[in-house]
Parts: sequence; C-alpha cells; structure tokens
Amino acid sequence: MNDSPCMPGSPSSSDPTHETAIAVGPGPSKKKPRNGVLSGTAGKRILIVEDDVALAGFLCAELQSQQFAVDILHDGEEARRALEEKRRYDLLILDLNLPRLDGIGLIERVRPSYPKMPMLVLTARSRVEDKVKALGSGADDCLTKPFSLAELLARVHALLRRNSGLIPNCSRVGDLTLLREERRAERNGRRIELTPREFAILDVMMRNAGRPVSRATLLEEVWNTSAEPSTNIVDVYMKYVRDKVDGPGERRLTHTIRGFGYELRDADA
Amino acid sequence: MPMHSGGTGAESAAGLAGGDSGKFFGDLANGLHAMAQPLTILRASMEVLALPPSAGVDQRRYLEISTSQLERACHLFTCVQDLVAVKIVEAQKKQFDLWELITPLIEGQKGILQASGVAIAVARQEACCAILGDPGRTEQAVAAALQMAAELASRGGVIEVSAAQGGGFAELTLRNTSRHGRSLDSSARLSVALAEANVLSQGGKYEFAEDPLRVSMALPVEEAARAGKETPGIRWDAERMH
Repeated sequence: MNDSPCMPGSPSSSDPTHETAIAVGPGPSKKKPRNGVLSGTAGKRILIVEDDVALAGFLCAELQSQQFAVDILHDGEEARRALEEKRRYDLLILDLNLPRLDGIGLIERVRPSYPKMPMLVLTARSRVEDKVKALGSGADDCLTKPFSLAELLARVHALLRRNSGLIPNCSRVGDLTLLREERRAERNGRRIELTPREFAILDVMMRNAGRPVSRATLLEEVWNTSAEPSTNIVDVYMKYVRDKVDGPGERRLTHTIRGFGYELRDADA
Repeated sequence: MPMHSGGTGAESAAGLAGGDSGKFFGDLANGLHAMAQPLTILRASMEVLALPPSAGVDQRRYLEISTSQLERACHLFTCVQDLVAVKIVEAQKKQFDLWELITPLIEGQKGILQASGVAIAVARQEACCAILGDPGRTEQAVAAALQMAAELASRGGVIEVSAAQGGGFAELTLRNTSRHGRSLDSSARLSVALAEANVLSQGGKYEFAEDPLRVSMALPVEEAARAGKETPGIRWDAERMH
C-alpha cells in the first residue's frame, strides 16, 4: 500500500494539519473552513474507500480542511476488515469500482453491522441502473464523477446531519455555554480554554445534558476506541474538564455517577 | 497468480464488429472511468480557485494540483485514443529487430530504477529476434510493461527481461521477482489493455499476471528467421544494470 498518512490506525490519521497522500502542496490547515458553517459536524470521522490514490488524497485534504477526521483505504477488502474490527466512523464515502471487493459488495457486507452509518457512493458510472443498484444495496446517497466539490461537501454535511439530528451551534447548561462553530466555551462570561480533546468531551456531555454518560461512551465518542476496563484516560481527562468548568465558588455542573460515568446537569434547574 | 491471456489477435486486428468487441468496450469503459478521477480533482480544484481572495485559498497548491491532474487526464485521453486507434487502424507489418527496439527503452528506465534501488536483469540472446510486425505498437507495449514493472518494484527488487523464440513467435517476458501487494487501479488497467491490444493487433499473444507482475508478449517472427532458429532456453548470463 502507499504511505498515505490518512491510513486508519495511524496516530496522525485524524490530525487535520497532516500532509496527505496527494503529491503536491501542503495539507489542510487549521484555518476556519471555507464555507464557514459546520452545524456541529466538525470532528466527525469519515472513512474514504477509493482506489485512486490521488483522488483519495485530495478528498482527504478537503474534508480535513472542513475539520473532519479522515481515514483512507484503497480496496474494499481492507475496508471491510477495518469496519469489522469495529472502527467507528460517522460516514463512509466509497467508490464503486474497488479492487478485491467492489463497492456494492462492501456495502452489502457492512450494512447489517452499521444500520445507521451514512454511506455515500462515488461512481464514474452515470447510468440510472448503477445508481439504483448502489442505493438498493444500502447506500444513502450517490454522486457521479466528475462531481463538484461544493456538492460533495454539501451532501456530506447533509448526511451527517440526517443521522445525528440537528445539533445546534449553541448549547447551554446553567450558566455554561458551548459554541460549536467558534469552538468556544464560556461560563458566566468567563472564557474556558479547552484542548481539542477536552472540547470533544464537553461537547458529548452537553449533548447529553441531564443524562448519565458512561465511560465507555466517552471512550468511543471521543477516542474512537472500544471500552477497555484497564484504562483511566476518561477519568483523567474528565478531571481536567471539571477543573476548568467548575471554577472556585461556582455551582457544580459536572457530577460523577459512581461505577458508571459522568453527568452534566445544573442542580438548580 | 493466474495469468490473464489475451490469446491471439490475428482474427481481430481491426474492425469493431469482431467477437472481442465486448472486451474492447469494457477496456474503453475502464479508460473513461480512469479519466473521471483526474477530472474530478481538476473540477474541484477549479471551484476552489474560483473562490474570492477573501476565502484565503492557497492558490499555488491548487494550481499545482490542477496542472498535475490535467497532465494525467491528457495522458489517459491519449491512451483511450490509442486504444481506439489500435482497433480501427490496421497494424503495420514491417521487419524489425526486437532487441534493437527495446534496448533504448531499458536504458531509459535505468536511471529511474537506479534511483529507487531496483535492478534490471536482461537475458539477451546473441542472435537477433527478427519480428514481422508493427514497431510503434510493440514499442508502446514494451514501454508500458517496463514502466509498470518499475512502478510496482520495491527497493532491492529485480526486473527480469528475457526473450525466447519458438513456434513462429518471439516471446518477450518481463517479470518482477518480488510481490508488490497492491491492486492495479483503473489507470494501470487501461495501460495493460492498451499493451494487450497493441500486441494482439499484430497477430501476437499477450499474457499478464498481476502479482508478482509478469508480462509476456509473443510476436510473429519473420519467415526466414522462423525456419532457422529455436531458442534452446533462457540463459541467465544476465547483464545486470544497477
């Protein structure tokens, strides 16, 4: 296989500053996305399965510039294995004409295990029958090459919104405010400086405000890995978040649910 | 890895009505599929370049991407054109020496191979291989096979080139001694299809195995040469070029 830094499993695969497989120019930057509006889809994980290395690298860079975490694979069989290993993705973008296991075969194999994961098919076949076959096999959407980048990005955002429900830009719990687009958290006018990981934790907690969130869920949502009983990484990071959110003299919003996980709630609400 | 065999193309050298038109259209469809990839990148890059300056686009990056993908699209377009040309234009029947034809091609690859740590081993016959065919198409087929062998070879690998004569054919074989573990994309498949069409259109035979790469092309030899020569076997007193 090529040395694409977007290969799954690579520690830097979700780093939006990383160089991509495409041979020219720098990779995407951490600058604000060109279209500006993310509607809470930033940080979502996307798997691209495309045998054309240059196209896969280009798409990877463009999606990373939109703040998505992107992995690339170049054949259907590898993708099937990666998905069967329970690597979690929010969206699968795949070509139909893949080596070893074609796109239709891949969709049919993985769809039963991932009934909710949106799948967007990219194909150079423009016949209606081909699109019908792809959609019939379990794909959610289909785009014919050569497609418009703006259209691809719009469809990606739409598919992610459809699956996760509309996530508002702004969430509030008591006097704590989270602005997702701006990647900013404030409490009673006090700016809370968070690392990307801490921000992701707070994002999950805010989306589930008033409900307990298990350590396993946080591990899966924030670290993209399945539960490992031996690790205390969630507790360590949760303490960082708690120390920043619940300042001295402030009402406590983060609560430990013993033997389970954590909950974000305003006790006075 | 089983060899894909193109058989003999003597009966289908020209004309779309031949029995192999299904394969031809399949190859053509694959060629158009290959072209869709750079065109997608090109279209997307143009969209980004068309954004106003306030978008803060790294224009140089997208211009470089556009240039490389435009070149790639043009190359693929040429391959598709050549594929059609092979189908509708009769191959030449000229006498030429196979080694004279391929030696400059091998020399041309030497520098690239040296840089990537790949050796090329040539088992060269003392007697010439007098072919009766189309030198242009043969050159194109051999060049494509050599380029693919070079692209798929890894550091420390060897590309073996040998020729043998028998049964009215001179058979040129290129093989990589190690596996590459990759799957050919549509551009590579187009290249294989064009090489195969070039050989078959001369009444030759073509065999291709993907991993490890092995390409065998047998071309009809000239009558006079056919009478006298049979190669006893390949002699690996190889000339190694590092």
